[in-house]
Amino acid sequence: MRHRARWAALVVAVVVAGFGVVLATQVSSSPSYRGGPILGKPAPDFELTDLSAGATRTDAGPAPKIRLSELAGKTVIVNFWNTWCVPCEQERPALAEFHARHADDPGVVLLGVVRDDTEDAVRAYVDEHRIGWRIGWGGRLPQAAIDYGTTGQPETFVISPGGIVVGKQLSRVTVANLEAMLAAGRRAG
Amino acid sequence: MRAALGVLALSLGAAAAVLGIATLAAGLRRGDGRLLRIGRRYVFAVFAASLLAVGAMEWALLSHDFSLAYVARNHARATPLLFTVTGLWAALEGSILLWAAVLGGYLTVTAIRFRRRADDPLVAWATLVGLAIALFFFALMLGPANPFKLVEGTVPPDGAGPNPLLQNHPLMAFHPPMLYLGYVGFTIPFSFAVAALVTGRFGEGWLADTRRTTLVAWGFLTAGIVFGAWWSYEVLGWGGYWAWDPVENASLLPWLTGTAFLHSVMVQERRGMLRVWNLSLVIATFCLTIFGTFLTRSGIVNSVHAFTQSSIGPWLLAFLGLVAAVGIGLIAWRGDALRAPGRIDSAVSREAAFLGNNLLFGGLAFVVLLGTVFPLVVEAVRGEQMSVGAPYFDRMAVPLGLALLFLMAVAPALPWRAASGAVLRDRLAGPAWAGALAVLVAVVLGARSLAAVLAVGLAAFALAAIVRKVGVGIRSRRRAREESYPRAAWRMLRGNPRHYGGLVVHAGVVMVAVAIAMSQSYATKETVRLSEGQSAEVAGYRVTFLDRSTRRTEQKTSFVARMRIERGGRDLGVYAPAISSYPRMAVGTPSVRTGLLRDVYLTVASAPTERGPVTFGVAVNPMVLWLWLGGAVMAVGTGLALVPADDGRRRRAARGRAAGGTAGGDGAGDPAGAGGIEGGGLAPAPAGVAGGRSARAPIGDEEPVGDPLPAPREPV
Amino acid sequence: MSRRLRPWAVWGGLVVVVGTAIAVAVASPGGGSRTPAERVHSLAAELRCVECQGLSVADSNSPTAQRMRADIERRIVEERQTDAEIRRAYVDRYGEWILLRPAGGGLDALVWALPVVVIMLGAAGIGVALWRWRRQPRPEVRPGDEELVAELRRTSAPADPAATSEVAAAKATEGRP
Repeated sequence: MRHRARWAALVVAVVVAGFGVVLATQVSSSPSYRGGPILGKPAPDFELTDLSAGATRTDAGPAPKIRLSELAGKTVIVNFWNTWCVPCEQERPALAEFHARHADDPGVVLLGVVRDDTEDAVRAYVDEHRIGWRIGWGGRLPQAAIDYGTTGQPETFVISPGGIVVGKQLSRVTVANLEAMLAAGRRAG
Repeated sequence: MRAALGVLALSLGAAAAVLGIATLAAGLRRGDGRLLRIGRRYVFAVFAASLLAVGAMEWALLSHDFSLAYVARNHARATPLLFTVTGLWAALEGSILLWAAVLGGYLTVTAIRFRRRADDPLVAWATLVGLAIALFFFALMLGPANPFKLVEGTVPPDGAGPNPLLQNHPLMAFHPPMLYLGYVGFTIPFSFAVAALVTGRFGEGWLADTRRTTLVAWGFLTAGIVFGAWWSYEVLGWGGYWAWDPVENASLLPWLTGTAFLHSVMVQERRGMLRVWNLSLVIATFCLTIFGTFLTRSGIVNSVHAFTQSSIGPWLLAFLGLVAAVGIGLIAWRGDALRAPGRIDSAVSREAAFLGNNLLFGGLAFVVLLGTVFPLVVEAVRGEQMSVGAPYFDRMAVPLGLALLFLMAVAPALPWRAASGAVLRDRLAGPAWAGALAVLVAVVLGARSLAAVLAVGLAAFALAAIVRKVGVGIRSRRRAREESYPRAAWRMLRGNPRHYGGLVVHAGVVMVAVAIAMSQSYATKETVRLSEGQSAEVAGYRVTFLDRSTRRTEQKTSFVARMRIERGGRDLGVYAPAISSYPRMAVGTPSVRTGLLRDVYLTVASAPTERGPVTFGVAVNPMVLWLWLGGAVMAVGTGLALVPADDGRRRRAARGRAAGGTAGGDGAGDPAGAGGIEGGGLAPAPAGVAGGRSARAPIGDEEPVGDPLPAPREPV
Repeated sequence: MSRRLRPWAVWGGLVVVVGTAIAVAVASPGGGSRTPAERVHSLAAELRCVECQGLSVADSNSPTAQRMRADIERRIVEERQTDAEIRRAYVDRYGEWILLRPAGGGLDALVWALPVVVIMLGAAGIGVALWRWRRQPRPEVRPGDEELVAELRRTSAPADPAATSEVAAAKATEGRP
């Protein structure tokens, strides 16, 4: 075959060009982990220690527990957070407002699950910022964090009254986000 | 002030590059040697400008000038002096600046080396290409990656300081510059390759001209990679030295094609063949250095080294496309004119071995490249994310690595052109039996991992072949000249440092291969929870937790645990792993007891509370020291290969001339002596000749075999 | 060497020794079935640590990795799950992304197949080239050729290197373009 080098160069050029196109499409889109495939699946159960301000810490008796199974029939918004992550701090006011709006609605539960933190720091934070919603503690990194496929914090999930995960958001939430998630949860039933 | 100075310097550099390119282009078009000589001088201006910009940045860092956004992001008043100075390359914009400065340095050295050939179109084209590449980097800095950009709003009183991971160890000072000296160095052979294609002089000249630069760049790249592995192991604390991380792969890719290139050029020097291979390899190497930069800086993959995402990605991609298009286009244009007459006579010959070398290194580079970018491809095509990690790379790279080890053992013993069974038996049987013996010993000692056993056997094979070669060389020299052993060895090295330097590098590779095989197959790691006074046993070592201490500085809180290591009752010392908590991250500091045969690697697994047991990681890693020693041996070998050959010809010629006769029988022999230009290394004029002279010294065959055909005339 | 072993003794013996040793190494039972700790480690080495970049769960000390190792151990010891079941459980939670060894079908298989194909093609190409070269007749050395080569060498070597321009010297020694 004449000019074999030219044919080889053509093949290489085509491959490199195709490759370049792929890279070009990827370089403009922001690479982000889109979270695990938990949407539409039954919400994994968990059992956490209740660290919320409302749960009185008595010297006698076992620490109060929060179990997802006990919250069946309610729309539960699970927010993975900790005391030192910057977006968690940024979304706290939104969570506080959402909680204030729905505090009297027994069908709505806002639950903050601590992810990657120490118990002392959490207690201090809850006291300092007067956090009113339920706070669940399951150790430094609770089993729930991997059951829900989290890779960091904040990550927020909404669980329908039927126990299905119907929504998730991997960035910090606004009040509007939370209301939308609540609506989606109620719709799913 | 400093920002203005910096931007001024960058503008001057870009302007000088433009003027240089224009002058050279005009000179080449008109065939005007004077213009070429003038155009060359702009290289010095570009270098000076880059140094000025570096100076401005260092001044800003050292004077805590937080009006510069770069300084505000990467420096703080509390940053120690060393890390302030090295803050120059702590982040994206600064490392582009470093790249430009190193490129300026290489271009300057090349310009000085070839000063006598300034009106040679080959040199002029190469300079032009080099200036064009420099222009690109200056444009980057005047555009998306401006290191001298000012802070928006008020000037902060203090900066954020460098990433804690970058402050942990003084080695941080050396790893990036060394890598850059490697990457950037390949710009020179690339520009000469382009020049060779453009001018039509794609014989051996451009190879001889750039041989030393290629070797220097390769040496630095190797050292940079080994340093990186050392830093990963000793400082980052996850317990390994190579994670097949995309940025690590980005540095490995040009190393793989660069090594293939370094070997393959020997075939072109000797037989004039494999031209398309060599041109393709050097172009690929340069493209891969740019690609590596793109990969690490564009934020397109997640990596330990992930720097802040910037808009630099599209620029780098476009430049990469341009370079690839130019390279492929030139080769396609020249087409079959590149093919040299000549053939490989036998599958069992040095030439065939080098062809195999190209295939294997190319294959390995393909594996690493594919694995690194495959997740991107899948995401682009299917929209889903998937990972390609260490299990894939290990599985693919190990067989290729073993095959390369085999080739490394066999190839130096193969004669050029063809080998007979008798020759093979003479040269390889002994070393092969040494390898077999090593395999036997390994299996008897209990080794059950196939890869490790094969690696040890092949390594012994290769080492024995090297020792044999050196021994035969010394012996034949002694017989010829009746010298003592040390003198014979010395003169033999001095006579052909390129060949023996290569053998030393191969010996280093053997050490590295054994170290990798052993540490990957036989490492033990356990996690233990200990309170003060408690001990744990791991792989024969007894580790006792002695006490803890906590230290708080304004930057971090450090928790240090002291531990005693014992083995067989013998106290091996007290080691102190630590874990430091910075405002937003925790950084572990391992404590490693480096032994000749085994390392004991201690880490604190997580920042503990004030009291209670602490979770430690205890690992015993065999033979890791040999990895670093092997790297050092490779560096020594590279240095040896750079030494100019001295086989006594110059001295004999000088003596001959002094006695009144001519330098008898040397033919085109001794221009260096006649012209009085010493030091083959930097000798510019006979660069084509002196570089060829070291090619004229036998490339690796001290044992004449007897050619069936007269050898073609070698480039002198 | 005056006394040489027959080729078959040298090479054959080599093959026998090495082959036996390797067979012994590979065939010997690797200490029975693996302990739970070994299984945890090997599974953890295949899973990606979610908070790091590219490290495996076995290598990482991040809180998530530690929890994952504990979870894997619980699955092995208490729930007696097989390796495949544990991998599936993690893929169900995190997606294919969590596996460091590409295991999906279809497109994923390409990453394993392509290098093999490319290297085979390369080797085949070299093989074909060698075969072609073999078939070319060797140039014959005719009686006058050796004198011709010697004559050319004598006449084309520059007599006085210092007089020639550097550029011409470089060009002359570059070999055939």
